[in-house]
Amino acid sequence: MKHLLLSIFLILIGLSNIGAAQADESKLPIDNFKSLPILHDGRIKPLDTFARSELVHFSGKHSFEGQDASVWLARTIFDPATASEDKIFKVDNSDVRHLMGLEERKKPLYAFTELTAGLQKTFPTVEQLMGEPKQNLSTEQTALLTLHESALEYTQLLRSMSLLLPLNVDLPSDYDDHKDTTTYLDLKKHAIEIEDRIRTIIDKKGNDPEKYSPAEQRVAILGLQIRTIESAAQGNNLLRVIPSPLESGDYLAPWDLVGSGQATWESVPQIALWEKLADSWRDGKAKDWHDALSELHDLNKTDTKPEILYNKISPFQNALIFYALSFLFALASMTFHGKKGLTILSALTAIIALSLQTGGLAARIIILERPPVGTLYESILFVGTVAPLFALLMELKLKNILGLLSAAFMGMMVGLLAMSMADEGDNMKVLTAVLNTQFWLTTHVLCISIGYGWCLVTSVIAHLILLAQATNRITQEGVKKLLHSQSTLALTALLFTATGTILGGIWADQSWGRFWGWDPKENGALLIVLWLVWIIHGKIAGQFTNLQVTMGYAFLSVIVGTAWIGVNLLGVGLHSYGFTEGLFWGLGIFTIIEVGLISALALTINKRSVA
Amino acid sequence: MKNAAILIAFILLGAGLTIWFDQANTPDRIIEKEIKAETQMQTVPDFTITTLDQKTLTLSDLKGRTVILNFWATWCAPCVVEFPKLAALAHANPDITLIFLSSDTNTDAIEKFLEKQSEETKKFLKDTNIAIARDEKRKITADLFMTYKLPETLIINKRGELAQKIVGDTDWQGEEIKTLLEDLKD
Repeated sequence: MKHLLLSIFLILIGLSNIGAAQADESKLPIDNFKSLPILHDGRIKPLDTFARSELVHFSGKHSFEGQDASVWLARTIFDPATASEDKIFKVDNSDVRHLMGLEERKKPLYAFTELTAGLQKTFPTVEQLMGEPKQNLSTEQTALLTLHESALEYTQLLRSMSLLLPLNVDLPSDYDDHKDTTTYLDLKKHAIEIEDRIRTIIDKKGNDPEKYSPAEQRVAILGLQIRTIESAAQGNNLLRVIPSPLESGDYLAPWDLVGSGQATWESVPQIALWEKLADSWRDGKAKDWHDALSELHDLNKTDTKPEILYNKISPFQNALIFYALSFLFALASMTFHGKKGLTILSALTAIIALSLQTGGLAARIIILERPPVGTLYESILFVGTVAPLFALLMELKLKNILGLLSAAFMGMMVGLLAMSMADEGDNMKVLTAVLNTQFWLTTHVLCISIGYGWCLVTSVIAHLILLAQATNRITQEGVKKLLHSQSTLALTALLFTATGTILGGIWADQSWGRFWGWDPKENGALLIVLWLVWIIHGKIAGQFTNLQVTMGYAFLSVIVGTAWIGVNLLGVGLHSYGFTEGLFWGLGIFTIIEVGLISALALTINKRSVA
Repeated sequence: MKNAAILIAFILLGAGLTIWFDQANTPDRIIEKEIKAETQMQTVPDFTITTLDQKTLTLSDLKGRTVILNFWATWCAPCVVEFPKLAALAHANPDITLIFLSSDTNTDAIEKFLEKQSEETKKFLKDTNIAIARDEKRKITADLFMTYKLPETLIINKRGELAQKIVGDTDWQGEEIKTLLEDLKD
């Protein structure tokens, strides 16, 4: 049994890392490159995370043709001519493909070189659209605008190292430094002299290059090349990989370092090492590549290994697989009347999933140096961990597989929700100032998220009670036991949501100077509390039957969904993350299904009891 | 009883986490980190120049004096604007050494530029604490200091460490510079 489980675990972990394994087949080892630090979106992260998020942004995928995202990134920055042929731009919208003059393909992926003509053609339209408010744009217009923005970002990447890459220039002998290759930085040293000479030539012979001697023409072309490279690199600050020698903790992109005047003598080895990396990548020189990376790591001394490990293990995605297995084992166990082996397998796979999630949350705390509940996505991860944990605790008490089934089901559902919300790979966002207050983030947000978790467990148990009663698969004694557990769960949910809501008010009072502002999120939290209070009071007062109480608890899933995610779609209030069409429809369909399911189950139970 | 124990365990865990997160980033620790960053000053690499009046000057020989190293060129407009201001500053502070390191391609251009200066600036330039040199092939400016954007000025303390880097023109008569130079005297 132990070996079987271990094998399952290893196979599944391996499956999710196929991309990483294949990356090792690239001509140079990529691991040390992946772990180089970069400052992006306000935090220092490994290049691995940056590469993944960029690739997901362009193509919707974490790897490119089986290659690791970092291999793609290395090719993009060190060998842009080859990289621009990589088919990485996903153009889903058929109208945009038509507008851009792109050929139809089975997979709508296009290379940058294939897009350039279309980008040029549609640029006037995009210029107009840029002045329009976003809500006025149609789906096609938004898609076209997004494609242009992506292409602009991609060109930044392509040119990010252009000051260190060899240039195809015809160098006059007096500027030849006798190096194998000439880079922009080599030329820049002579730029002043070149400009001087061009001025003298123009003074003597005017602006018509045809009147120049071949030697003078070479100088004029060289001057033009320098200016062209410089103007193409204007504002290129995406690849912030070089530590600022003047500001501790800040990183600069190579062009920014040179252009902003922030470089000092300490930048010289950094630039030289990046040049060596670029050369060794193109020439496939493994030793130079390895040496340059080791030296860069020695200079930078930023430990990005925890995040590399996090990316490699992908704990939350792998946990989803284990929850699915646990669910199947639990179902099989129920089918075979609680067969012990299957129940143990279900429990063990659920524990592995839970361990992965807990490890994932711990890794996020270490990486972000804050509680792991700062964004909506993070709260989903957190609830997706605590809800199955509570269900497993319940299983310990009830020992009837329902806890296992609930844990696995919630793990899967919330995990899927998290995957759909994981925008652009890297979701470890830097928080806004008001959120980034450790004390309140820990107390209020953790408390309310734990409350959501209890609510979900209550709702799932209520569903199971309804299902078991409707299918007549439970005894009256069993129902009684479950109703008692359901009440305990609901009371615990009320305790945490009510405390969390009050703590939120205290936080709001300290941050914004008011306890309650009728913000949609505040109202959502209150809605859960009121819903629970209403059902519990109805039960105590004898106004609701057990069936009505169970229906009310089952519907808690919709109430939590609305309060937790739905209110963010309103586009107003302090917790608004903006309208997401997919999420809106998802929540809408979920609500309709829940209303239908709960009503159908209740009607069946009613009919059965009347009969 | 068992449920109450679990609940208490959760509350204690929450309280523990809260205290841990709160302690991890106390203002004291943040200030400590900032001070550490500020005190890690970088020693400016040594170099030798030959001034226009053919004197040899090595940076390490100037230890014990505050040095202002100005990267400039005669064709650079902001450099031309700040040139007399810097000369006046050096004249007013004889305990500092001012090095004008030019990226001009020939000495003639520098000499012509100096000729055009006001009588007062010419007088300041005669001070022994002001040195003017041309950086042949920009070996110091570009190769050693990675300076591609003129003007740039390094203010170097008595221990030969970088005290401040100023990119572009600045108010050389302003309070900020006065305070900085005063602080560097200690």
